[in-house]
Amino acid sequence: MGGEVGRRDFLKIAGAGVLGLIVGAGVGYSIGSRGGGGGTETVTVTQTAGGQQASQQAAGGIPGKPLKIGYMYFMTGPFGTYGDMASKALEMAAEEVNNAGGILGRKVELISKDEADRERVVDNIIKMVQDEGAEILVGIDSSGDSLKLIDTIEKELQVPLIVTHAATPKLTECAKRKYIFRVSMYEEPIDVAAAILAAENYPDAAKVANIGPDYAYGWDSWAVFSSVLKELRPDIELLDPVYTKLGTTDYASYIDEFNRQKPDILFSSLWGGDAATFFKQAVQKGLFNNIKAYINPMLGATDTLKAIGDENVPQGGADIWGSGRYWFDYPPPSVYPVNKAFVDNFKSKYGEYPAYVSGTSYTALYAIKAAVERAYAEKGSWPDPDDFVKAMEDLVVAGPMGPVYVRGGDHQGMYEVYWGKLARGGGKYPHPILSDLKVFSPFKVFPEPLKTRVEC
Amino acid sequence: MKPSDYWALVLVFALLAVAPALAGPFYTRLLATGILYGTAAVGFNVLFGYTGLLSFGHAMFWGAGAYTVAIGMVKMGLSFPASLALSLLVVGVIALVTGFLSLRHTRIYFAMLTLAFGQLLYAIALKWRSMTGADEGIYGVPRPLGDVVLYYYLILGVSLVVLLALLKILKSPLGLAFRSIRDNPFRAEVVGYPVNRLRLLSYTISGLATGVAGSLYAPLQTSVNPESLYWTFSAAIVFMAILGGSRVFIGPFIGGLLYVFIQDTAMGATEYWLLATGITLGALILLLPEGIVGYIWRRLGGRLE
Repeated sequence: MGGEVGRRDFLKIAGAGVLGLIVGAGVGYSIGSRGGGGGTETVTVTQTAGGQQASQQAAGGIPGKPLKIGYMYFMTGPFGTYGDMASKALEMAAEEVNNAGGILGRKVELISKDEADRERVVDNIIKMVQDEGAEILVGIDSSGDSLKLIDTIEKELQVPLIVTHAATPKLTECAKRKYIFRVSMYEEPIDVAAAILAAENYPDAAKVANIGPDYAYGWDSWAVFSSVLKELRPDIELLDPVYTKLGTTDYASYIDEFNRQKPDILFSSLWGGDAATFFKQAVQKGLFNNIKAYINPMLGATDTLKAIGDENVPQGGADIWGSGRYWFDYPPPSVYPVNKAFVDNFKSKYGEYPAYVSGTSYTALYAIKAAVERAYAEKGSWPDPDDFVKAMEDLVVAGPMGPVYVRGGDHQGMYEVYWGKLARGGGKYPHPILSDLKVFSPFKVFPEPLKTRVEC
Repeated sequence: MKPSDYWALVLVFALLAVAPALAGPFYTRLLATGILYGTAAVGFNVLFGYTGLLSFGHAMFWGAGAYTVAIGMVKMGLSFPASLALSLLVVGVIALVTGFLSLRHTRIYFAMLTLAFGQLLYAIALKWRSMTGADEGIYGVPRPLGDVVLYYYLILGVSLVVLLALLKILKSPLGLAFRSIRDNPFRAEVVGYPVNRLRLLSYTISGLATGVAGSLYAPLQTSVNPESLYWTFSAAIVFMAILGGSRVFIGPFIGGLLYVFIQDTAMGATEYWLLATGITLGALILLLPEGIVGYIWRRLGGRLE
């Protein structure tokens, strides 16, 4: 979606797009992804619907005990908000599913471990499965943790893990994993979309700068963004990227340097508290009067926006763009009932807007449900992990962020990427928001399965 | 019969040898971690309990061992035995260099220097992406023998060899020289011991033992991360030694086993875990200064160091 689109038009387009996607997704995606593999089974959304019918019939082959799903997020410490917002959504999804009769009649029971228990991430995952009886795993905030769990999941446990936050391309794109899936957006498509956004909206931009956290995520984000931008705009000048320590409290010297260099575009993968601290200091030092655009792929996180506060949203000056894995106002609740129900229920239950991790973890539980029912429709009994994996591949599940297509080729969930402009909540929302969303089709910004610009 | 170091070792390892039959895969794995923590803590105690030097940087040996095995197996395609040999070489060199520089001082100054060198290694692991994978670490480390239970026995066997070697050294005249330096370095000097060289030797032996344990840990976890080099793990090793008791040879080993199980059962949230660790450590020092094993040892009529 390139040119400017008015809000009303945008709603119409978005609404039509969402409906179209839901209908077309299953058929289109699965046929598309299986191109050339003639003779393989065809899989469509209708099978999921068939599965739902099956769930209403009491049938044999289904264990009587509840289905234990183990999740792991940062529940305490500086990143505890992630686990809090994700587990709230998981609890809500489990409650909804259980109230509707469970999954094929089995009640869902959630158990959890704290990812902040750093030394024991691997042990605790194994404990949930081998000692506490978890049949399916969900979660993982840290990219590093997701990578160190690969062998544990694939070789030792051989139990499905649905990742809902960790965003490193290496998890799904460096090799095809068998038992690991990711229903949340990962870094690369957001950064690709950012580069397209920058190239299309700022055709005169001459200089681009970067400030990001000094670890793999910050380095990889800039590598992807800058390389795609360079392909689109070979003449653009890339300034030396700046990387800062996690938890930096004083960005003054970096901001002074940007004020001197006056880059047209400042890309920043700072996140969480760091993103808010940098932003507030940049406002104080007038940085946004010296640049044309500030582009931050992690700005669309409600806790970061809360920390920035309405009073720090500059009026005029640079365009401030933010993205994330899900934004509670997209697809617009007015045209997409799944998101409306999710946001309304979340708000009335917990008194706040769902964070992006809430949207992705909520989706994970419904993906599990859909996959179990799909496998059941084929086999007639409760799926073992291998059946479950087969049913997860090329599955389409309606999440709050829109239909998510779990691509068979790399087990990565595909859905639309959005970029929105920072605006004040203005009393309607308790924190700043993203508005004037630009939405990118996943086909435009997702690399082919098992292809990534990041070094494996 | 008074308790003896050898018999205590034999008894503990005999119990550990039958444990997997009763424990199930998860607890066997936990025991394997405990055995490695315990071996690392006994290594640490060669320096702390027997030579009188508190190192606050032993995670550097543990982490260096783990990283070298991971790099050897994943990046260089070496076999496990070759990686382990390389790891001993790397840990030995690190011990000699950091020991040479740190042992110009004793007591708190020595502790601070070891802490600084440990953090230096941590910083290198965090930055040198092409070699260490930075914050993502190295993953996909193959596990020799594959199966956790088989690997458990490999860990048990190697740890037994390490502990027997340490015990033999500590019972030898060299061990007596370490003790004399611990008890009175000035007298040791006057008697004619090359105190600095012996301290460096003790430091290197101590580092190598901890390094072997760390080397075996990477394939158990199938990954290694910068946290294995972080100072909090150095502190954990000190804690294990004091928990079990630094005045009995087997004490820190039991301390390592206990540490893993306390961590596994008593903790729900990290904050409370740190609080619990603090309270336990405070209570131990005030009420049970010789540690849990030390207390039992004394009650059985054994001799404390």
